[in-house]
Amino acid sequence: MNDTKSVALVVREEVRDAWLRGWGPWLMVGVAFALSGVAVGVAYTSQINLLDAREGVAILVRLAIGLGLLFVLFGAADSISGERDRATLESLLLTPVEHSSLVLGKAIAAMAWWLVTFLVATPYVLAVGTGPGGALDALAVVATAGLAMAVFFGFGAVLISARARTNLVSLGLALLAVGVLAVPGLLPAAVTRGPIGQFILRADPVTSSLQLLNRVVVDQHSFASEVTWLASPVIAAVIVVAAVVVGVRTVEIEPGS
Amino acid sequence: MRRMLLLTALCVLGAVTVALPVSAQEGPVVAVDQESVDTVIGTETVMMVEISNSGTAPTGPLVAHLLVVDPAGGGSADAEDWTSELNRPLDSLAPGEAHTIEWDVAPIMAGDYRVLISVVPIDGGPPSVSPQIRFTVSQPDALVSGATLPVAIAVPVIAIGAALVTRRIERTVAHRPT
Amino acid sequence: MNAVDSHRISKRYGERLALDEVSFTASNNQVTGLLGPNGAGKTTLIRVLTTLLAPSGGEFSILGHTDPEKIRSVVGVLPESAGFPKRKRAIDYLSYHGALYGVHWSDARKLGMDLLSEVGLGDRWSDRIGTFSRGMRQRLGIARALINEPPVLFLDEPTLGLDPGGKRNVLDLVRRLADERGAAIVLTSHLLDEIERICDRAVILDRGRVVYDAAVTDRLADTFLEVTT
Repeated sequence: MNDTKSVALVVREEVRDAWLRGWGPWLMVGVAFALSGVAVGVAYTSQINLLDAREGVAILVRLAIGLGLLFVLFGAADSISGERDRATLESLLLTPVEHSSLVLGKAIAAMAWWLVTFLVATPYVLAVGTGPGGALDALAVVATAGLAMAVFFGFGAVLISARARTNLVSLGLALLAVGVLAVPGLLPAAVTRGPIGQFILRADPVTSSLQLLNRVVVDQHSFASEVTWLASPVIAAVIVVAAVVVGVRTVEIEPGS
Repeated sequence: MRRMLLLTALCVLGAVTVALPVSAQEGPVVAVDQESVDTVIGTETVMMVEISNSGTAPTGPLVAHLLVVDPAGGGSADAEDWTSELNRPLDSLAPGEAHTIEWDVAPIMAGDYRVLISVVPIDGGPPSVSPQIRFTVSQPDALVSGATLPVAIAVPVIAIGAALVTRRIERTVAHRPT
Repeated sequence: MNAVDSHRISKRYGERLALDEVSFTASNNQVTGLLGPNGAGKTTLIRVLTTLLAPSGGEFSILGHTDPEKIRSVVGVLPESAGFPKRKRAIDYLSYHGALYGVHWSDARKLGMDLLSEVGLGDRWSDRIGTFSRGMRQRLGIARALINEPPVLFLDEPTLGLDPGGKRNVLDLVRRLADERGAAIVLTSHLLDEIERICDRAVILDRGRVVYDAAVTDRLADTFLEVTT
């Protein structure tokens, strides 16, 4: 059976499971309410000068990206190990579809969480960003750094999921990995000012994405002038996609047994 | 009390700077790359500060310190609110040697400020002060709540509508006979 | 040519030997019972023969095929304690699996409807699987195993957890599939009466070794009793 056709088949079914039969649309209702609350909140606090307007836009963008990535992470981390836990994986592995096609299809389908969250968040970013300016630059950050991180999180979590014995292990490891990658962003300025610190900031895809967000949205640098911060998120995304496409040949029904 | 001390320090530093012509000044000379900056609250400005040794002996270890003055507000502003690094230690400068440091500042209140960099030799000796930079800080534009509110109402309504439609589509497709 | 032909298959998990040079065959139109107590190696053997597990030793073929992808395209499997996506509707579940076997969506849907009727779920085709009883799910699992119209069918403990009525329905269905479709069916069970009722021949596994491989006769019961006591 044609690989591309198999992948498309898996993507179609996974998307239907999440967005027609599953809770996807209702989770997006929740996202819309959360973004509405934050948008109104930052608009009001900005109006009474308690919050810088651009910091308000940044809060909204961080929330949108954070929610989108969280959905991608959980969806992808559950994709294989969840089927293993629910005893539905075996019947999939028994079909003639190559295991790599199953994994790739599930990873691509997880991107739908990001895409829909982005679509829901776009009107908010445009509306809130209009006042202080830079709405399109903010949107460019969400679309580029956000997408790169979604691919990195999604494909990375699927890789973990394919090898984890249980769903709990898969979700735990995926969250742990994200936590570790967030650490450089918490380092004090004195540490990150030096060449080693700067290298860490730029090499870590999560921190690098946040740096891009802060510089463009908060500091109002142009997106084009800060585009080099996209390097590590994009490279990280390319590496995990290659790892899924090339590295996953067989999915085991009981990993490590 | 803190404001008084700061003003006193500024006066002393200013007096020293005025009293000593640059050519005759012993120890470090501090220069900045800007005379005035127009900015808005929260925006980061990078100042290039050059500290050079115009004397004939090494300066010894130095500390550069950021000072922010609010003349209209009666004196000092809290420089800690402008930068995360109020003090920057420097190695000793040999005669004729210069060192440039980047100083990121982001004002948090609107107003008309003067920013100065003072450089103090740790082992003693006269302090030096840079020329002042005039910072005119204005309020940023507020968020346009007029656009935010309709979006904040419309998007959840549309999302609920879309969720109901997908549920209906799923039922329709599922019950469609072959 | 035997539908299933396995020769001295071994499977080792670390120190533990789950299958110890197991050889057996299965033929078309026949139901072959794999009988044994829990832990005898029945599920491991099915997983090896359906390419889910690589054997540690030995060789096997299904309808002469040894390539895993080829084998998967000619076998149907009901795994032990198979799970089902509860939010999916029965027909969507079957259509998807049909499509995974390369059947066009619309054809897979039609085939799925026919199979649901065949297993007695024709009137529940558009219901969510979450609303099905365990017996109905087992029959749905058998329908899924048949979606690629396989000449060889592996059913791993298909009556596990069913009430007497549900067991009877499933066993009658299995016998009918062998008779009407001419399929070679390998069925595992730890219950002697099930094997005696519908199987043509039986293989008893005990701690990974074959201790009986013959037609269903009185000697089967004696051997099984020896194994389980």
